[in-house]
Amino acid sequence: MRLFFSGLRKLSRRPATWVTVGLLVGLLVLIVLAVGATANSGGLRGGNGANAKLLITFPGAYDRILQFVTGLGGLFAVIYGAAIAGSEWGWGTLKAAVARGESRVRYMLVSYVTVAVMIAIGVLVTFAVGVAAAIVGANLAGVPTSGLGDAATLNDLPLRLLKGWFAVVEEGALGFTIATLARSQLAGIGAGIAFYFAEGFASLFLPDVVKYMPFSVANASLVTGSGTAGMFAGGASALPADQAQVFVAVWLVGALVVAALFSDRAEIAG
Amino acid sequence: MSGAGGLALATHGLRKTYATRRALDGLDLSVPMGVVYGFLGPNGAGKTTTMRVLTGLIHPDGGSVEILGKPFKRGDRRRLFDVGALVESPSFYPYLSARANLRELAASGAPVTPKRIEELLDLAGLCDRADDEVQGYSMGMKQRLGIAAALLSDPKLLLLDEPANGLDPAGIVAMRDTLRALAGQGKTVFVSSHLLAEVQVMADMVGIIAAGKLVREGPLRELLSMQGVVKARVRPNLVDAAIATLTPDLPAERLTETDREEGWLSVRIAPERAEEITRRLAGAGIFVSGMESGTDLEMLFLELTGGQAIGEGSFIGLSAPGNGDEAAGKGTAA
Repeated sequence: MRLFFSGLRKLSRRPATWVTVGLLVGLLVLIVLAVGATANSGGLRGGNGANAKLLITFPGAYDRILQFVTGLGGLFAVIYGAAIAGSEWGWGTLKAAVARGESRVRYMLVSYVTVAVMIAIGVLVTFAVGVAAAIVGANLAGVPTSGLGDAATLNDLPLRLLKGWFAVVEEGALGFTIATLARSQLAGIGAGIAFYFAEGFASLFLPDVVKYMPFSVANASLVTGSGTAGMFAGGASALPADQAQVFVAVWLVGALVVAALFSDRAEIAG
Repeated sequence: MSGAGGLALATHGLRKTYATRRALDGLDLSVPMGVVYGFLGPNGAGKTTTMRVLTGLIHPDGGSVEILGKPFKRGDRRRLFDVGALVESPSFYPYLSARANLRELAASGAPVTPKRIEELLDLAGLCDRADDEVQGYSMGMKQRLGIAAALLSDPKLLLLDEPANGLDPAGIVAMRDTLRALAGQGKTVFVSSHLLAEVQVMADMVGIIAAGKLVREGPLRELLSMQGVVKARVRPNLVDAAIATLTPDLPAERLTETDREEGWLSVRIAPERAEEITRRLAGAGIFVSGMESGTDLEMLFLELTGGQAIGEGSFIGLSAPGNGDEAAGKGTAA
């Protein structure tokens, strides 16, 4: 537990934590308020306007905001996970802990558990701020907010948030593992981002393969009956949500096992 | 020095190869308890590789390590609970303060009390800046914090890789006093350094490695007694006569001129035998106008490592009629 609470303290004081959440929150608020402010202007009339208004129309807005949080948040999680793991190697702090007799595997796994906790906080904060912004946007646009208290949606919300968090945690684990293998923040972040977009691009050509890939399953795991899987999940080839959740778990565990094994075997220098 | 308590650290036939380069080639070290052990070697000799092996950062290809009398193998990480280490550069979270860094580091490995952290901040002279982010620290401050971090668990064995790096003269003196005090408490301090002068005044024992092998190990005083230097000053026009007088009793390689114009002769002989030189020269009617004597770790180092010069000179003038520059003794005998 010492290591766990230490990890939380380290992450809560780390600028990258708040910059990442701040960016995600800032972008979401900007988009939602922009939609609210311009929904009735000439540019957003017609089909585009109707689609845009979904972002500020409750109860559907809950789903849209969550999609944003898990979609762009997934990319941010890759970067964040890579930054945390890479810095342990780059700053030599893993070396210092190992030289004190700390277990490498435990150190790395507990580090990621703390990342997962911070991701949970980030998802909740971003979602809450996004909902608040959507209410403001709805008022700006003159869209009624009567769906805000929709009982069915609110009942489903905790489970949907939990699934969303789990998907983002899986994506963060990929960044974490890539940076561990690269032993570098920058290389981990770069490779993580490249992987993220390469998978999205590859889904255009190899949908039957890519639907099993980590970002695709993460997105597919969140798709509801009426929702979409965003830029991933191979479109029509996307896995069903429940099946995708299993693959999310497989990717998460697999990524962390690779990170742990590599850390255990690696020669630490520098 | 109290070597009676057994060995704090021992390696037997330690081997490590990086790709095609052999970093350690059967390294055997024996470090008694309660000493300051200077671990010397030229660049690339295997000092840092040894440090990494001793702290479990890398694993040897062969050989064995014993820490505090017990085998230290892969998976024996708890053995390191009694070891404090500063390997290469000090490692910290740059965005955290010194106090927070020590606290978070203390969360790994052996448990540490908050009081201990405050004691170490005080020892490192960082109390005034303890809440500042480490990224704003000078190199010397980071080094002091690194030494404090190595002392977190009040270790029985301290492994320090170039601990004087970045320290100012006052910091070096303070570090030396601290390490000597720790050895006085029965702790063992293993210091890898290229500052021969620093090791010479601090260490009880030295081990010198070259090309991954131990080439000499033993009590510093004993090693240096075999490497003493006496410098005698005679009238410049009598230098040849002085050499001729001394040569029959001294092997030629022990006798060199340091500075013919100034009349300095350098004789590699134990300092306590200095009077033999004066007596012999006086017997031949050659009178010595100045003498310096001392021992030189650098000479020993250069001789054992094949003349790979590192660091700075370390001649210590015991009774210097001239100034310190004359006493530098660099290249006079090697």
